[in-house]
Amino acid sequence: MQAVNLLPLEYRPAGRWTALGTGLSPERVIPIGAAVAGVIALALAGVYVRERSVVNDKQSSLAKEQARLVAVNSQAQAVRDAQTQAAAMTTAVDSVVAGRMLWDSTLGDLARVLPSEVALTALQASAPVASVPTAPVATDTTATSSTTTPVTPTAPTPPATTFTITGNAPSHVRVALILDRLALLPWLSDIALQTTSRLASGSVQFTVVAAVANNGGH
Amino acid sequence: MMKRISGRVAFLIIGAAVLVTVLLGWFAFIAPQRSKVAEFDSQVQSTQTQIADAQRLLTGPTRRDSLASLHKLQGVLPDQVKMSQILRQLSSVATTSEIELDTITPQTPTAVGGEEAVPMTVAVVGHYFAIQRFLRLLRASADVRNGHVIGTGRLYSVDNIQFTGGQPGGVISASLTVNGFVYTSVPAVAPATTAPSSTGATAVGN
Repeated sequence: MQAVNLLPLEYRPAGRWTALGTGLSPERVIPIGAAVAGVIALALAGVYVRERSVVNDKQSSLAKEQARLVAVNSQAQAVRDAQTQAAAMTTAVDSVVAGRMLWDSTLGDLARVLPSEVALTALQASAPVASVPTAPVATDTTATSSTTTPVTPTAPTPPATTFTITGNAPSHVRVALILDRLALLPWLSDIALQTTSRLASGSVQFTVVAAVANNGGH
Repeated sequence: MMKRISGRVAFLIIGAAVLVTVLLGWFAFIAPQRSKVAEFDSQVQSTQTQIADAQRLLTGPTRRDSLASLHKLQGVLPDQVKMSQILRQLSSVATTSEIELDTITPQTPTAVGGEEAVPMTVAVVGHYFAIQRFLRLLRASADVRNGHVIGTGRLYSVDNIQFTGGQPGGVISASLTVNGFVYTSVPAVAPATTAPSSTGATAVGN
């Protein structure tokens, strides 16, 4: 059987929370509450002041570190500049080295492929891509013209023939062998006989032209 | 007034006021300061990292290597023509390769990309293989191997060679177009060459 409370509401025993503060008089609650609030506000102000001082410390330490960074960076900048300049110079050296003709290799190759009893009397060869652009010479032979034409050096275009050798061979067959052997050189192309002529001594003078195809690096 | 509110209501009002004060104090005043502290901490850390990087650059081998590399490159590709140095180097290479330097005729320097080329017509006399050795030593004066610049001299290239033989003992006279190089930090613009006025060529045409 369940018990029933027949007391009016105001006479019933209150719950834990509903009874909170019921026995207090406002004259006591307000000053105590104000004092508690004041203490809490003071505590908060203390925490604020402490945090503010930490912020100031951190700010000044950041300023010090930044000043140190500026000082160290000014020294390090010299090293960085040196690195940048060295990289730029290496690139410049690389570009020249990659494009220059390996004449020692090419002359060595030529000496190896020329048959015996063949002597060169003249050689003329140019790199397929010159390191220095050539300025075309503006020639004007007309009597009346007096215009001045600015000429800008242009990127060199490989000439049709950049390699010419002249020499003496004992026979035409030996000249043929020269042509065959020159064809073996990977840095030569378009090998052509320009002329041969028999000399009074019986030997054959020849002139062979070709184009230098690459820088001789094979 | 005080008599009109009950103790319970006063207690609740005070409780609420205290709670509001705590929350307001925390979120309006203390939390922003703490967030500033965290922000400064992270900035200090980042600055310290940058300082450590810069100090590593200054005290580690990088600095020494960079400066040594730059010094070497300045020898290979100086910023001035230094013709005296070119003459000394060509003479030394000629002596080593046992050829004779006949003439050296420098021409006007020409801008080529980031550097300036100083073309020279060099006439030499010697045996075929001695001239070949001369060209090899000239190339080895400054070369690039595995991405590193090697050599003890300046950078040279040869654009053109021509020789004629016929001298006694297999000696040949060769004329070489040799380029020395000068580094210009700013890529130079090729100077516009002005062709001379053709008034002087009047007689040629006639």
